[in-house]
Amino acid sequence: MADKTEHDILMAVAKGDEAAFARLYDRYQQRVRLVAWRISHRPDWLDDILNEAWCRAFNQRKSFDPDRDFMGWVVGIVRNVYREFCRKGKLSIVSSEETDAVGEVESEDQSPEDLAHWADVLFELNQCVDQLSDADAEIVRLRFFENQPLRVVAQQVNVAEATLRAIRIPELIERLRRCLAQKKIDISDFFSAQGGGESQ
Amino acid sequence: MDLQTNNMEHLLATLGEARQNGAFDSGASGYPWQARTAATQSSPKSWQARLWKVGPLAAAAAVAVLFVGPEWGSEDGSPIGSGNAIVDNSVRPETHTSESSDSTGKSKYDYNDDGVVNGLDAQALTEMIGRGEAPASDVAELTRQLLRG
Repeated sequence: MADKTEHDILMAVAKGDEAAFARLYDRYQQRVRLVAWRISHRPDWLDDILNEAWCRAFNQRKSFDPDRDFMGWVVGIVRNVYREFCRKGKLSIVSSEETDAVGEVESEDQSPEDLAHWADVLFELNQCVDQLSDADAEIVRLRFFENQPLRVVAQQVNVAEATLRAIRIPELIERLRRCLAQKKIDISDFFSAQGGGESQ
Repeated sequence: MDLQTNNMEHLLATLGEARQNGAFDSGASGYPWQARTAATQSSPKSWQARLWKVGPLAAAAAVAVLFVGPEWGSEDGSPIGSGNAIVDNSVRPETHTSESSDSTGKSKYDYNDDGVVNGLDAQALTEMIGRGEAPASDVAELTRQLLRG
């Protein structure tokens, strides 16, 4: 659970302290945004969902239990807001098949705490990627973000394909794993704990 | 390929997708609840805005009642709610002239000053009630007046 400082902030939030709530917003808003994206897969809805969810959380802050996980609490609100958006979207035929196909099925079986943990991992991994050298960051971008074939990546970064496969990429992944480990994040059983993996 | 490598590659692919979909954008600047409060406070006449939304609806409802009202009745022609002013057909036309005109001869029910007392005055009356310039009881009087023809 949270350290004492964080718990003090949570206590202040539960008493209605707006500044304390703002501190938690600053700390968690990016992770909450990730969860909203994962739940909805609707980039065009993200800002609306998040604005509504954060306003509700703010208005309900006095009912927050400071012994609870704040992120999990907000994620629960985000999920409720998304469900309402889906219902309204369906009524006005805005969302069409896209909404029917994703979102409501995905993540429904995961607890808010699981989703919060998932967002935490992705948030920290993003920071680790940002710390990579330009050359390694380029490999990550081409190979994993854009899913380019190794041959193409090798040409782009001017490295032999065999070297890329056998040395550069394994090293890079190990570097990222160590970075996450320093942040006390272990991904060895991450996907099994997350209910079977991502939808891609 | 070991599990950790597989998981990491999976996570990186998800991270790329998240970045591409704007899941790492900062979103709107400022705090959402403050933005919403500011938006609310920037329209101090929001109650009037609501009135403008509700007003025409109320006027339309009043007009609808005016047109439908005379049709409300039992098969023998007597009003269903004889105590209801809206369907009270027993009011005598000859009494309304003195009650409904001011000293200048203008009808007090001509709320929109167009020289005619008709359904359009319901809209004007609703707005006047919203501004506190007329009592709500005037709706019943106007309704009665219009039913007289």
